[in-house]
Amino acid sequence: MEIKMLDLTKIFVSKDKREVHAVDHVDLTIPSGKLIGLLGPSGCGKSTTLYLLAGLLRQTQGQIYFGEDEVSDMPPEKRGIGLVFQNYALYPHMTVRENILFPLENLKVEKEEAKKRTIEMAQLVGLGEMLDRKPKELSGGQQQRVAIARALVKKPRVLLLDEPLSNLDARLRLQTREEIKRIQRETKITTVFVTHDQEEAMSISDEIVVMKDGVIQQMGEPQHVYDHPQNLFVAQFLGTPQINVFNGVVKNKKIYVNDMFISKTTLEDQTVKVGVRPEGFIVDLEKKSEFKFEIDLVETIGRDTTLIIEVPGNEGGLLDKITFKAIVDASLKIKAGDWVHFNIKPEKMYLFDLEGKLLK
Amino acid sequence: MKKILLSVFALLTVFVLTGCVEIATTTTTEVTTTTTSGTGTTAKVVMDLPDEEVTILFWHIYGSGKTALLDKFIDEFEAMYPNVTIESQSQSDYNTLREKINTGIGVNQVPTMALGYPDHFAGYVQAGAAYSLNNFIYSNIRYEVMDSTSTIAGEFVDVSLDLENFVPGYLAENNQYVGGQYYSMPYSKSTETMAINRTVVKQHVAAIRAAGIDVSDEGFFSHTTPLTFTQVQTLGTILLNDTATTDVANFQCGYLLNYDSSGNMFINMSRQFGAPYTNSAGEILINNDTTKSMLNYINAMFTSRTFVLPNQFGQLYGSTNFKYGDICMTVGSTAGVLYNIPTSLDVAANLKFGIFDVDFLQVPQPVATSGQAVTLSDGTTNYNFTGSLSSVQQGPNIGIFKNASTNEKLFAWLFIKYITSAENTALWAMDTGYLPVRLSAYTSDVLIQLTPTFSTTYVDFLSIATDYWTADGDVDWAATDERWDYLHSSMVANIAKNQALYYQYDPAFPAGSSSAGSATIRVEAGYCLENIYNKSKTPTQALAFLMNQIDW
Amino acid sequence: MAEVFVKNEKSYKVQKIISNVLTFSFLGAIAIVVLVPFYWMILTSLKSSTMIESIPPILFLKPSQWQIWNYKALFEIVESGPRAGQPLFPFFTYMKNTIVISIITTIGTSITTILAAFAFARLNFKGRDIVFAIIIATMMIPGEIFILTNFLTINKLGWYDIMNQSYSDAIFAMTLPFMTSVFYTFYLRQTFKQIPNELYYAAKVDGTTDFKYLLKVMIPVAMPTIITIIILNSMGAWSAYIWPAMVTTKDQFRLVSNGLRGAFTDSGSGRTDYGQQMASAALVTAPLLVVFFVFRKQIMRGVSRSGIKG
Repeated sequence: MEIKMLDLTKIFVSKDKREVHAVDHVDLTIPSGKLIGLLGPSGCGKSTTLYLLAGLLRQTQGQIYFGEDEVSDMPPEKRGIGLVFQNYALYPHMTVRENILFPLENLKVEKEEAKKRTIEMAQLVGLGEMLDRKPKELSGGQQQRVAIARALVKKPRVLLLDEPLSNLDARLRLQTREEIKRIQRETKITTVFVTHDQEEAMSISDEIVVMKDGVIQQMGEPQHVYDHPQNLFVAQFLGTPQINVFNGVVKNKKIYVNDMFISKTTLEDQTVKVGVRPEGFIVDLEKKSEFKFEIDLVETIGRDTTLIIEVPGNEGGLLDKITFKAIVDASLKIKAGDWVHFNIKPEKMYLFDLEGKLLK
Repeated sequence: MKKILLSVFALLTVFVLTGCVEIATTTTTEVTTTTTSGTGTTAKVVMDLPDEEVTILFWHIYGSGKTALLDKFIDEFEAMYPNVTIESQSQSDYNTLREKINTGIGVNQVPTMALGYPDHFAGYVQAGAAYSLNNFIYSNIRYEVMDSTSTIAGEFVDVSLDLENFVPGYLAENNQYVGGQYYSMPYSKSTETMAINRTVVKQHVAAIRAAGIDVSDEGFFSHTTPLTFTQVQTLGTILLNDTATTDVANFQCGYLLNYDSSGNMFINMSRQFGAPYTNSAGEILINNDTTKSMLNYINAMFTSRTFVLPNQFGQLYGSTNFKYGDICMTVGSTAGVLYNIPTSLDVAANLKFGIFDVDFLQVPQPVATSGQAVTLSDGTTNYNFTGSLSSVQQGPNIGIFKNASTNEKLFAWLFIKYITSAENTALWAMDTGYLPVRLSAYTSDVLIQLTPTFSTTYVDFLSIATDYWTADGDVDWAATDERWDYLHSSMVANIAKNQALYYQYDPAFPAGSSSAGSATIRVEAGYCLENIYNKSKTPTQALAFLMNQIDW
Repeated sequence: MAEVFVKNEKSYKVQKIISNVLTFSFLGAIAIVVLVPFYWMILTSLKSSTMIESIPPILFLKPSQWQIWNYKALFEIVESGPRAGQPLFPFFTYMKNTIVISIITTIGTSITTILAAFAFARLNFKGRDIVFAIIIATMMIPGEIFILTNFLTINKLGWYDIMNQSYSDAIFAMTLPFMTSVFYTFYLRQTFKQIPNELYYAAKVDGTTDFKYLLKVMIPVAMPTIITIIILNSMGAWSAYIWPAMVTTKDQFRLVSNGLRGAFTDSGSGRTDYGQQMASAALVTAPLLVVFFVFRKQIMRGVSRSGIKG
């Protein structure tokens, strides 16, 4: 089921009567059968978008289509959605079986059929043995799987997941992430997955949608968005460690950061922001490059070494921060206090204008 | 001229009473007769008794199970007046009863008649809800009972009531209200009498006589002349042990005379010593030199263990410690007589004098005749008073409310007359332990069945004690004759009859804007004596504290 | 090294014993404080009046000394007179009334409390918080003040007609003013508020109406609190005294609490037959104890408020 949002807008009026555009003129089409990660920092409007899709909030303007159906004015129960919450929202007084069965009772599904589907769902999420337990007798991951089963049991057209992994500890989070991916593949249900964790989104999603201030910044396959951010925000939001951003200038088709030559370019002379992914640095063993720094800290984990370079007082032309990081080969044996000359991999470097827009 | 006026009055009364314009049917026998009643002659207007259906709501506090006799009266009354139904309803307790009436006055939900203490009626009078019974007491109407199904068909019933017949003290209490009108009639009345450990007294007969007090060989004091306070103090020197503990071998008690109710003690002693207390107008007169002098005397008597309060033993009543032999004499309500009698049911080890003999006397008085000057002494200080005879009368009265219809009021009144008739008040007294409200009850010769196997007249009931006293106690009252089961009740009834001559009432009034009501003042007066007894306050301080509590 | 370990273990054991002794003696002391009144009630109910006034008090009774008479007297039948055949102390009538009143007020209170708490916790309507604040503010008015206004209301409704109050009138009059409770509403609202919003959203998506959500989710989830309310409310109804005495006109409409107060006090001397009073008090308490034992799990849960986890 394809989901289509047209000019979707949600305006909240805050207590001091200010209007907050939580979702701002969003036009978005989510292809059928895909798992979409809706990604952004908290307050970016991703959860609001999800609640608009679910019908729990009413849009200020715009339309929502599930396939050919316009659902803009439908109450949640009519939209055919399954919804999973961060805190699972299981009915604490009901057993797993009763929880999964609950939506079917409301839909007046015939009893035998409902029972059958409940068991199927429990098996799908791997909880076939735990049907008679109460939620509090389950681990967080198991509870979330119950919540997913409950969302799926009524065979929704769309599955909506609101930060479903945030309450789980790291190991369970990985497990459950895989589980969700598997279940989505098996059911082929169009799924929207809201998260603020870019790594999670990138690993689970067929496509990600990056949002900021109620506006969609970029949509695409995770690796593609990572490799081709359309603006500084997306570039900064995706990737760990974060992309390093320097204040630079283009002079005579050459890019300088703090008067150090970095790379050539085809752009006209202007002031730019230079984004370099940590893995985009190459140590120039011949020390020919002008782009050199004294290393403050070296962290080696496995085959990678992270060089941490402090640039106090912004003298390195570094944007926003006082340190930046470079990931290099561990075999290089660089120590703190060494001066290192860097070359930049061109495909890991992005130039943005001062508004953060990518310069091609 | 007089006759014409009377006729006009009669006609008017008929309109008012029946609300009916058809004179012909209601005044068939418009005959004026003259009857002799009590002291004077009154012209009577004879009329048909109204026969419309009437329901009378009677509120009291007698729990189910205690209403058997009242129910019997009601049955008899309803047989006499078949058009009348009396709904007799208990309202739990006196406070609830009063609250419900006070609240009900505003919304017209008041019974036809109710039981209540004088201060309750004072409140109803103030609220304009009580009906003046003078309308009936002095009525000249005589009804002929026309209903052939009545047990008194064809008889004549006077509305008026001969007050001569009533115990004067009770009447004074019931017409103390504004305008000197009767807003209630006495019903369940009691008084205080004094129980005395005759077994102890008997051992000291010689010493008591030597001290100039009349006592029989068997330890009986006079039942007609009360002991004086001076005599009580003298008895103290003989009957009291040097320490506060009972000396069984020497037949001496630790304390002499207990007063169960410190409130009654304060009020009655005020009257005995001529100390102003309150009046029915609600004025508080307590703060005076005579009261101070009285409190100082009481304080001295507390100190010498001549007087004692139940607080000494952590009790509400002195009866238990009287039975145990800690106290030789105790003043308490006639309704609680039997609590003072030690029996085999008591825990034997507690009874220091075993199962001793108990006699009943009038409460001690300051003088033999009212108006005499008396000087009391505690050994160091003299207290001078003009003494009066006074004894407490207490217990609820019964009254009628204005809201009721004319006929309801009429039959409610006839019911009051019925239950306070000489026979019925005597019967009520013997059945409940209250006292008859009419003097004529004391001479009633109607036979009353007290138990399935024992019946007696009130006259004979009284003679149980007098026979015993006359025989100087030489009677095996524990024998099988059922008559002797009533010995102590009879003693108390005799004492009460003698005391009835000088009953005084506690002026009743509701709380006003600047002072407390009479019921509160009684309680606070009791605390005043308890404070003095506990030595937590001097008499002066206790009086000042009392005034502070009740006057604002 | 091993010695130290043993020593530690030993001191740990000693510590544990001491803390156990302290804990249990404290609990024991509290239990005694709680149980003594009950014991005294039963003991007094088995004493004769002379045993009751005995000094020093009798602390124990052998079964042979028991005065079962006190209990028997409660069920005595009037032998003669117009009330012949009826019980002397209409224990069962009082008891029936008390039970009826308790059940009705408890059901009424539960319904109004649940609905009001739901509205204040879950529904969005204009002026909700102001209305709630006003209602909460009424808690500061002492209950006695309402007696008069309630009385007038009941009178206006025609349920306090002293000439012919019917049994149903009396039941309505006794129960109506106690069919709501601001405190319980507040208490339950706080519990409802703790139920996460997501549960509501989940239920919405699952196709429940507000009312069905209340019925199927909120009430079951808040059950410990509701049971606490039911228990507290029925205990309140059980021991109500002033109001039932105010608005009932006939003895046969009254509650056991009213009956206990007046029935054993001699109207003349003002003395109370404590033996009989305690015997009937014991009989009145018995059902409460049974209820407590049967529902002790729920009661304890309600009291300790095992909150709802998100």
